[in-house]
Amino acid sequence: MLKAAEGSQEAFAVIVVRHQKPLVNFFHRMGAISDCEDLAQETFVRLFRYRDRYKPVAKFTSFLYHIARNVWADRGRKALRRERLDTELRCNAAIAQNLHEPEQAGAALDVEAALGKLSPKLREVIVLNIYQGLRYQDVADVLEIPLGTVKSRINLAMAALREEIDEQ
Amino acid sequence: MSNSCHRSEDACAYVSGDLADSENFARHIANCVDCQNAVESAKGLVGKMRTVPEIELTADFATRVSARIAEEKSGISFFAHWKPALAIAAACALLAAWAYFNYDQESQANNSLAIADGIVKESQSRALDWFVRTQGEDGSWNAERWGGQQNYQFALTALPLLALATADQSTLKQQAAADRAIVHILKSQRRNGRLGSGTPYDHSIATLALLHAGNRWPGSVPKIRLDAAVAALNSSIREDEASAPWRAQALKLAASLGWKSAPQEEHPIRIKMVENVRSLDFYNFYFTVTALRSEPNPETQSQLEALRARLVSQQVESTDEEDGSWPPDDQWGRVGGRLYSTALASMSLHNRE
Repeated sequence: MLKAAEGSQEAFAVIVVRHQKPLVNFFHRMGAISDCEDLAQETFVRLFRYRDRYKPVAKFTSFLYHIARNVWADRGRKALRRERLDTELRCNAAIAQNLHEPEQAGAALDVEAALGKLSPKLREVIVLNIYQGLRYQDVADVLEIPLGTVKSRINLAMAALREEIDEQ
Repeated sequence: MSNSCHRSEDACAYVSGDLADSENFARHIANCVDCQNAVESAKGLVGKMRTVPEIELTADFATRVSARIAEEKSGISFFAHWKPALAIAAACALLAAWAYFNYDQESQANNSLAIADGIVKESQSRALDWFVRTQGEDGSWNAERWGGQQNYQFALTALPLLALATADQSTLKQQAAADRAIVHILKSQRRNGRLGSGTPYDHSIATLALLHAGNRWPGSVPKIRLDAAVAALNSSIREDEASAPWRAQALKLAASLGWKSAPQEEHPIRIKMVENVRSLDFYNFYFTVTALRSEPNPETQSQLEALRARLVSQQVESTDEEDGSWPPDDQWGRVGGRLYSTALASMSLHNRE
């Protein structure tokens, strides 16, 4: 990232290639449907715009997801925001490509539905921690909340998910 | 699940490797059943959550990002495009006005009239905006409200989705309307994969619409749902006359998108060519256009343009809520209403199959 901050287009291209898929999936897990790639692209554009603000004291992934989270928040604020969708039925387009066991596919659908029922605050900690692989401290940095709050939100989210999935 | 030991709150952090004193907790759980259960439960839940696979990117994603970054780097901004865009818009408006004037003068006598591309695009866009404005909160369209019959309610939601998904261009609002329609349609899917009421008509149109939507907006339609719908299409009993062309299109599209369950042979869409475009029939128009698009040559192009000119001239232009739609003034209008006429007419203007 430091090379990219100095203006190296090659270094930035490496960042895009390395983080494009996790980023698109971040937006998908957060609830985006058909505009995941648009949101990821906007994140990379902002990353490029703010590249000189990156300080090596912070983890790069925290910096990236901090931007991504703002892109997601802005999407919600914009006048042309999409109405809230019933996310119960959403699931990953690649399920059938990757899963051939009906039971496993069913479990994935249950998880997607349960995730869709979480409040935005609980959903984002779960997405960042479980799916994006960020540590609790990184999640705290991205969301600018105390570490203890991350821990309690994850506990609350896990309890809600467990209850929801057990019911299905 | 409730755990009485207060340390069970550390189970999630322990499982994810985020607990500062994990060694201490490991010693604790050796003697604490509550915490052992909490850890096992957390592990099981995390495992389940990770069964959801990642979505794939479209092939040119990195290229598109690279182009945007290059634009950003060169300092080209939206405002830098502003003046050229205005000039292009003005030129298009003049061209459109000229074409429209000519069309208006000659259309009554000349069926092979060419129509400006800009006018066709604007017409498409107004039709799609009409769908956006008239969609219900649950993602459906109200058949009766727009002159259709209640028993075709489901198909009359699938048709607008098909129009949105096959449009040459779409705005974010139109995409959002499509998303809502997809969710509504998927809610109706049964265990046997069938959509709507399960009739061949409902199922064929809805499957075709979902296939187009899923192909156009990756991730918008779960593939397992499409798999089930396509499989049900294959296993359907003898289809009726009304559903046959929709089913044929759906099977053809499914096969081209790689569904192995769809037959690989050709599915010719049997249509009766419209001999006189002055006889308004939205169904015939649409299937004629579908056939003409599949055989591009100067003659079919001329016929296409004549049909499109005819359609554009029928579109409602007013300040009321019907603006952008087509009056359902053909033999099927009393069944399908304005949703049917507008969906079929707008799809006849599309360049996509």
